[in-house]
Amino acid sequence: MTVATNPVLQQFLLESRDFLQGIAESLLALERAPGDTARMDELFRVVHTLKGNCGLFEFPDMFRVIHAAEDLMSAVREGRMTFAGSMADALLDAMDFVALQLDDIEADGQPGSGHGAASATLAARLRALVPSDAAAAPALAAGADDAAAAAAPASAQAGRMAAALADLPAAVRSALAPHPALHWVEYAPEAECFFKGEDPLYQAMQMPDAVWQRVVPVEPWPVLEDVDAYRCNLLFQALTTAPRAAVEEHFRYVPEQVWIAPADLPAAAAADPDLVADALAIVRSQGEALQAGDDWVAGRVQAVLATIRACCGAIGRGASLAELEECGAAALAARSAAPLLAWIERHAPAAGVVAPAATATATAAAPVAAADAGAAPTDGEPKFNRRADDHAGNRVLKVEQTKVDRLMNLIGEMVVARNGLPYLAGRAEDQYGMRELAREIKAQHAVINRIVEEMQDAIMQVRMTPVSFVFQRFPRLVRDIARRLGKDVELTLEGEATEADKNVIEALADPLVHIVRNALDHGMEMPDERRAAGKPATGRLVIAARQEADRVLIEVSDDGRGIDPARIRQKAYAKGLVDEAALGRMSDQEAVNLVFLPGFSTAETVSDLSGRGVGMDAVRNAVEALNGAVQLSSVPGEGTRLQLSLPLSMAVSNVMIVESGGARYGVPMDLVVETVRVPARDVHRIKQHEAAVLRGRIVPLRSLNELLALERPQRRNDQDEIATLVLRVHGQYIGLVIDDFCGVMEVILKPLAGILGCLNAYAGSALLGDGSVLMVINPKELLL
Amino acid sequence: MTIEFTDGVLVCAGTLPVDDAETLLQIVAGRPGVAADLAACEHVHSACLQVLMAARVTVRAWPAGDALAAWLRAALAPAPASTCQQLTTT
Repeated sequence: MTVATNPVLQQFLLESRDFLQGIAESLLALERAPGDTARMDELFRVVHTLKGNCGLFEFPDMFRVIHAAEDLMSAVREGRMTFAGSMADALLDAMDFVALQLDDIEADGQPGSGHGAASATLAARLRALVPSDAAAAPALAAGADDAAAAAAPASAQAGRMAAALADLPAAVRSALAPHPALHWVEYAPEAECFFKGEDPLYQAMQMPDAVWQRVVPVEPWPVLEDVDAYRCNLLFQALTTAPRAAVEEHFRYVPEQVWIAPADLPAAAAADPDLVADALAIVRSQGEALQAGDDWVAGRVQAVLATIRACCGAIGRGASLAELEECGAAALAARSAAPLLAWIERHAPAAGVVAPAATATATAAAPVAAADAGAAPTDGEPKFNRRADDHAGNRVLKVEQTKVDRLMNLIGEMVVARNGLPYLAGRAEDQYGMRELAREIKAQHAVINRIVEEMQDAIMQVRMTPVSFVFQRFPRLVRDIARRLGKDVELTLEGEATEADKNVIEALADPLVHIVRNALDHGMEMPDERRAAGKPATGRLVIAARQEADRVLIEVSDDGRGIDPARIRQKAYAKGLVDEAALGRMSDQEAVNLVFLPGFSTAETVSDLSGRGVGMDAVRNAVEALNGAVQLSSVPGEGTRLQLSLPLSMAVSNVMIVESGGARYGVPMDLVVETVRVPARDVHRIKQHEAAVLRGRIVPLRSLNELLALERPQRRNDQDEIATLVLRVHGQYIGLVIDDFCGVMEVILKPLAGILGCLNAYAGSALLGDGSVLMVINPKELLL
Repeated sequence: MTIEFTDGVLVCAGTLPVDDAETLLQIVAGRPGVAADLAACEHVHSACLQVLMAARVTVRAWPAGDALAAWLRAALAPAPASTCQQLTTT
């Protein structure tokens, strides 16, 4: 599981950091005003949510700490205790721990191992603050001095370890001697563990790399008749060659029941003096090896460390290993062999004479040193002294949408200002006759243009959201609907990573839900019906997204019964939506598109899912409001395909600027099919309307002046040609007659406000570079 | 049934689940040191294990699985006396 591929985990990390921030603030506020119950409730709620989220994943260390924190807050909330500064400290420490775990998860996809002990300590500290009715006093006393409390059992465990190791048969001991880093593991399951479904023996058996093990009763067995089989009276002891972290990882759910310490096997009573001398000689030679090389490398220190570890293990000098590790760490940190050489000097003096007494001392000291080493974190040491706000790992910035919108508006103004430069160049040349200056302004314009475009692109990227934002709800939705309808449907999502502007994606959600419901309700057949038609009983529904140039295409296709044009015709006629003459002219494809008419519904009965006659025309309106288009195609018996085409971003629109009646107007580029100049003699008059034949197609011509109720006739050019903009509106070609074309420009389209907002003929207005206002017409409204 | 008691020998086979601990206890009750054949055992739940330990069964045949055998030997083979002393004092 990695962070990058798991959106739930990403979400968890983001949210958790927010929660931690909130918790820290609340705690600090509560320190100032401990009686603020509203704050406390808020704090409790956040911690509770955090715990719930955490429970979704397998992060036992984190969960344990949060759980303890929640218990503590619960006690405060119920009035069993009052909030105090010490509590805030414990809670803040706990939250720091959680933050560290989050860092680990973000880096590696999982919390680092070896935090079990820290987690247990923190949890114990938090729990110690909670007054439980029965054990309040001892718990508090324990909380007062964690170290002392922890030390007592630890020494008992150390004692047991020493005794057990001393009892090891010589054969076992010599077999284990080659292992340099043995760990003693003592696992004391709870007495009630069987009732929690635990099997401690199984847990112990799964322990990594156990080389020796023993199971003993905690208390001596009573007479058989009194044995309670369901009260665990077992103590598992083992020696393992696995690193401490691996063992902790293995017992991560029960860290408080496990005691791990580096095990030093007492040297065999009659350690061969020759062997000891040999080993020490090896250790000394390691020192020489370290001094020899000028080009010091960390690898050499590692190698030397490993060798010395093995030698000391073999001759029972394990006690000095803790110090060795320290020196080794210092050597690595200082990038110098000096600390390690010092150690060799201390423990293997060049004199070479080692009194047997030294060995004996080492042996006697072994359990004590081992206990110390057990208390001081060794290889699995958690990096647990950074504050939560130290880390730089949080690379996601959450920004209010209004701030991004402001950037968007500013870049819009920048685009307008940039568009002003060519005008300025024109004026420099025409009005002041300064050609050179005009050229320089144009060069400068090119530079600014590049930067502005890049900036615009960058800001757009900020607003880009993957379609998965909308898609992710469908698996559940489809499953629920299909189950309710008794249909069998398999959903396939494709291209979930396709991105588009946040507004576009958000506005897409409702139409898509409508479409999917329709597909499942009307399109998909019941399993029996499908089998009878020779199709697999399980229907297929595909929702796919892809990017095509500056548009996002979203396709919803099913392999259901398709749309029967005859039935649509009949239905549309029955509902009085079309007249008989129109029906006759209509192609099958056009008939299928009748489903987009307001008030059309083919469902025989109105279900709670769809069939109220609002579905498809609502979809079309929503999509068109986004400057998008809907296409429906269907083959009866084989399925239906609905394609939505949407702009990637709604912020910048391409418009064609045209001149008509002495003013300039913008026409949205996505509707423009072509610009032609039609010779006046080719225009034919059919009844009141003019039309021309273009590329073998009859295109009705409409004059823009006439549509806008301007009194002037359209101007023609010197060759007596009519400037015509061919638009495609709702699948029909229409020629818009204007005076002249002026070019294409990117503009920031602002919707008309106030009373002007009621004018449907205009899509909005835009500011041009020379400061004038461009009215952008809305051909869909104007022409139909 | 995976536990049988025939001819004075306790024969266990397959997996001894936690529910069998009580049955096992009834069988071994009053027969401390009873002989046990665990050759066909695949797993022994800790609850059953401690019954066997408490009964100080004399194991005649160990399970085939290496890990299980090692742990069962560690639990059921006669322990040095000093260990018991050590434990009782702590």
